[in-house]
Amino acid sequence: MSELDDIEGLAAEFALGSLTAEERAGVVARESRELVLDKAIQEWEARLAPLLHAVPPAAPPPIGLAQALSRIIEGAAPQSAEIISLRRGRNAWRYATAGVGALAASLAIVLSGQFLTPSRTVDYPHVAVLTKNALPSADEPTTSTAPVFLISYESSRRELYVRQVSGRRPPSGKAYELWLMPGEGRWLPFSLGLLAAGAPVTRLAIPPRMEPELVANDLVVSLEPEKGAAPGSAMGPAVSAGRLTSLLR
Amino acid sequence: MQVSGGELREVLARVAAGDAAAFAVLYRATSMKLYGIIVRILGRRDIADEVLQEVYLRVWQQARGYDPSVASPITWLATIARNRALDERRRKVPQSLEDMPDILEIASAEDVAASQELADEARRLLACINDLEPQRRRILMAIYFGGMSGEEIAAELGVPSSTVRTWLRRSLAQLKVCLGQ
Repeated sequence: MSELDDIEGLAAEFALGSLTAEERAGVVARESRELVLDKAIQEWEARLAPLLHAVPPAAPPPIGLAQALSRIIEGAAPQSAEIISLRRGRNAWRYATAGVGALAASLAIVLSGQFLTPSRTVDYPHVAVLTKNALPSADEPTTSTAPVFLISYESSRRELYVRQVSGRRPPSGKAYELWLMPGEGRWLPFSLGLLAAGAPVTRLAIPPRMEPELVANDLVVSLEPEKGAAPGSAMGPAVSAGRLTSLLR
Repeated sequence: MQVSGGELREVLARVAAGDAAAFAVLYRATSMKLYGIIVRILGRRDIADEVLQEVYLRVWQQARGYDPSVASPITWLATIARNRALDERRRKVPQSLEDMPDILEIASAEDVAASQELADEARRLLACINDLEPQRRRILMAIYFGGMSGEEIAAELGVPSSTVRTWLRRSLAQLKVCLGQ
């Protein structure tokens, strides 16, 4: 019977998964500088990979995508400019409010509820990642200081959980405020509330009448005076935006 | 969500460029498969949840390094998931062969042959595995699907680790010859 030499034997065992933790760590350390070992591992992984067809899929927790996105954004904060726009397929929208020229919406990624069943017996949160890549014109590049927010919504509690995961904090004397934008001009921008400065998460209650509109319209974070936009006044400069849109269609 | 290999390659390229929307598409298309692999090895969903997140973080960070000439996207992803699950599994209380009675069922030729996803190469590989001596076949499957280490197998069977290593390497060499590679 043929035998595997040391390098290929080690590669085969690594791909199979029989090595101890220490042995695996040793292989990983060598792999990056030993091309022969690296190639042998790739070949054995490819050789055994068809076995993976035999493993039945399993549904991950519905919140998994949101958590993965959150970790990515947190981990990639210095490179957040690399997060690119979702505007393809959507018209960039603009708000001609006082104090704001125009704003292009960027990214909103949403994981919606009812992951396992169309019934509403289990209520999973909606989650969105909001950022922007153009302000006020679509040509302005996103910078690493542009604020990015992770927003989740639990309809059972009718609460939004807003967390800034990267980007600059509001300057002294200012605050971020979350708005629900009007659908086809049916109402003025509706303030959902101020984001608490320094707090990791802000909880915002959603009025029952606004709930149906929440997933159908854009959310915008604006920069406002410390106590928020005065009633009846125009919204301040928008800094981040996006729309809750289910990807589980 | 069904996505073809070609579409997954395009999605991975977009992920490599930092496209978070493409990442979401990738997650939707592949997370059930990767989660199945992770749960199979770890046996605990709470730990598997965390590992799945780490796998996708790694995918995000390493997408630029994906080489389509080496592996299909799903194989690349599944390999990352399996390796990460194995690393985690090595930190856990050892399992026993007796704790994994369904491993052999999952890996049996009949079950796999029933899968519509089965590629010809999977059938050939299983045929070669079925040619192995029964005990060695069982060991191979316990390692690949259950994440057991050679040391754990040796302890369970009451034989030296070096003996198990010899068995494994001979079994793997036999597989390679059988596959003609």
